[in-house]
Amino acid sequence: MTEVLVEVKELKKYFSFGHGLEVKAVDGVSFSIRKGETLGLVGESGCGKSTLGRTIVRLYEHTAGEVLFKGKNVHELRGKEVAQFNRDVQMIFQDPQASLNPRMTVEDIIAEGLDIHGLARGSRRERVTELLQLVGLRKEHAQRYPHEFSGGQRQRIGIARALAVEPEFIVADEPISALDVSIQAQVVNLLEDLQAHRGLTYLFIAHDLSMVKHISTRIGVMYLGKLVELAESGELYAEPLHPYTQALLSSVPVPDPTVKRERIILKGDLPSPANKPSGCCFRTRCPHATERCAIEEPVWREVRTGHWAACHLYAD
Amino acid sequence: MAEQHLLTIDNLKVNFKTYGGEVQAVRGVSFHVDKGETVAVVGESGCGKSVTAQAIMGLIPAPPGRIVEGRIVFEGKEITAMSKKELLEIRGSQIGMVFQDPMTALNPTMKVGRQIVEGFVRHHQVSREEAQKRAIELLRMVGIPDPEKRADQYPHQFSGGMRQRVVIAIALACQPKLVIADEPTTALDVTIQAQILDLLKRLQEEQGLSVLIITHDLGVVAEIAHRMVVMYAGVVVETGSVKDVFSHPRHPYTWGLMRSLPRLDGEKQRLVPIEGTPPDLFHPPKGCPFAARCEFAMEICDRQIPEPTAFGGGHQAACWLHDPRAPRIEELVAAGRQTE
Repeated sequence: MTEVLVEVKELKKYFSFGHGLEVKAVDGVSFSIRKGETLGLVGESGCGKSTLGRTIVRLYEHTAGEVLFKGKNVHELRGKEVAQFNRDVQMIFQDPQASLNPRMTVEDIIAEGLDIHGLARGSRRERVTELLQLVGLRKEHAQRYPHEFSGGQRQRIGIARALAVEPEFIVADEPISALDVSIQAQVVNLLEDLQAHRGLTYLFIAHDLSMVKHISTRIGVMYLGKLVELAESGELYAEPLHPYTQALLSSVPVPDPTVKRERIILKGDLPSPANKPSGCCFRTRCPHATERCAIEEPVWREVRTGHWAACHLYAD
Repeated sequence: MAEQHLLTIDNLKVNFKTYGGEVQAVRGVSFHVDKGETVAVVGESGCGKSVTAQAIMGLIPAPPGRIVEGRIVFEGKEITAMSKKELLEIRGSQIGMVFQDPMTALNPTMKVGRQIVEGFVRHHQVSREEAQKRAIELLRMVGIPDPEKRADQYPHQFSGGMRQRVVIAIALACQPKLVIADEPTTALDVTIQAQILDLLKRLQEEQGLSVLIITHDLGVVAEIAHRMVVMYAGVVVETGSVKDVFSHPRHPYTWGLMRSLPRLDGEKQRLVPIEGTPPDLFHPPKGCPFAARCEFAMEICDRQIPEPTAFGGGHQAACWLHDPRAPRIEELVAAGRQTE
């Protein structure tokens, strides 16, 4: 068993809108991320996957539960520990246009973390050059501004910035969703190479299931703030247990006209996260829903070794 | 001869004036759509696929845009030569349009029922009651439950998928012969996308519609289309039946697109990206626009744009590799096929 790097226990993040209105964006999620693996997180918009990622890296205060990074509760870190955590954990964002300051040169963007943490003093420029080359950009690019780059190149700058402080763990929130297909593969290969050479651990958040399957060691599926299933990526795709995962996988259009699959078309829409159904939150769209699902919330349990699911179909 | 198609686009060229100069967004695009078929135009952002769709609808904002050259012929009538008034007669009644983002496509201050029949009322003189009846009928057709009640609601009371159904209902209100759908499922979640694709397919079959779908997703193409047109940097690089293009892609760009996609089934393999980026359309290259990223590029590719080569069954690709004088073509095609 490999070492666990991040452990999430019953994590909750609620957003309050006053008047008793509350959105339970992340509602009691537990899982762990092993050192050196890529954990993929999939789900539809509004399922809480980005909130989960942001709460793990302390961009959001948590409501309840805990996140342990190398055994330490990240929401209770103080002083120097916070600075160290911010070095160890970095984030790559979805929109490379919005996440780079348009008024800073690429050199300043990449070196911002170095400056804050007092790294690479005296060798700032060399370090930036090295990082640029690492992500497939050139030395001359350092003096340019973000608008002078294409989407794929901007995402490379975002990756170089994340790598500057030599993190161990990177949360990548939809890092390729804004890119064209032919460019997506470039960025995914870059992320894979970096992982191989530097032993990085990724939390890879995305809604593109084929890309998540490609890059992930294990995959978690979220629905309305809950984790509904978690398994090795091959197993999840071959034998999905939860009815939501089954429907999600069957909905992905296959780029092959000779493949004719049995599609599970879900009825209706995602319920509002502010007003979730009782019991199992998926029951309103589930083809297998029974009375029990409305009354009792299914338990998150290990159905097979390493394969977790929360569904009454697999209760004892 | 070309006039027997429902829609023919012939050597279309569209430019946009900007502060930085003139962008040649569409640079000589030709294809057609027949009655009762679904044609998909695929390509990456900036390849000119949406501009082509807008040109068909007469929606190119002019200025800054202008159609420099080429003809668009719909049912034997030349759209590109029509007056504004003539265009209004066709738009909405003969050709319907489905946009990418259903929230911005709908008027937030107008009840959904009225929006749906706005065009219908304009094109046919009908009473209020009749219009309302038609709206409810259309809502039912696109699978919106409780249509009587929903017709009196506003767009914000609908979810994303339901809104897209409303947009489709609007496009179908006047029983058009052709529906142009520009990235109709891109803004939607995958389970909702499956619902909408199913709906489009059902409506297409039931009503004998012709559909022109613009998308960047090869998965969507394989699900829904009969024929496909692959665009790159403002030109068509390959076209043919979906079956032919997927099983025997003939253009290096199409090979590249297919190789860069991860597959849900099958073993994990390293992705093969297309290196580099698309050319700058302010100063498009003189030769084949893909040459700079093409692993098989030859001298001629930089100098002259290749003409389409036909492979039978309407399958065509514009690539110098298929010129009889090109070397090693068999091995190259075989190499391309291995990657499927």
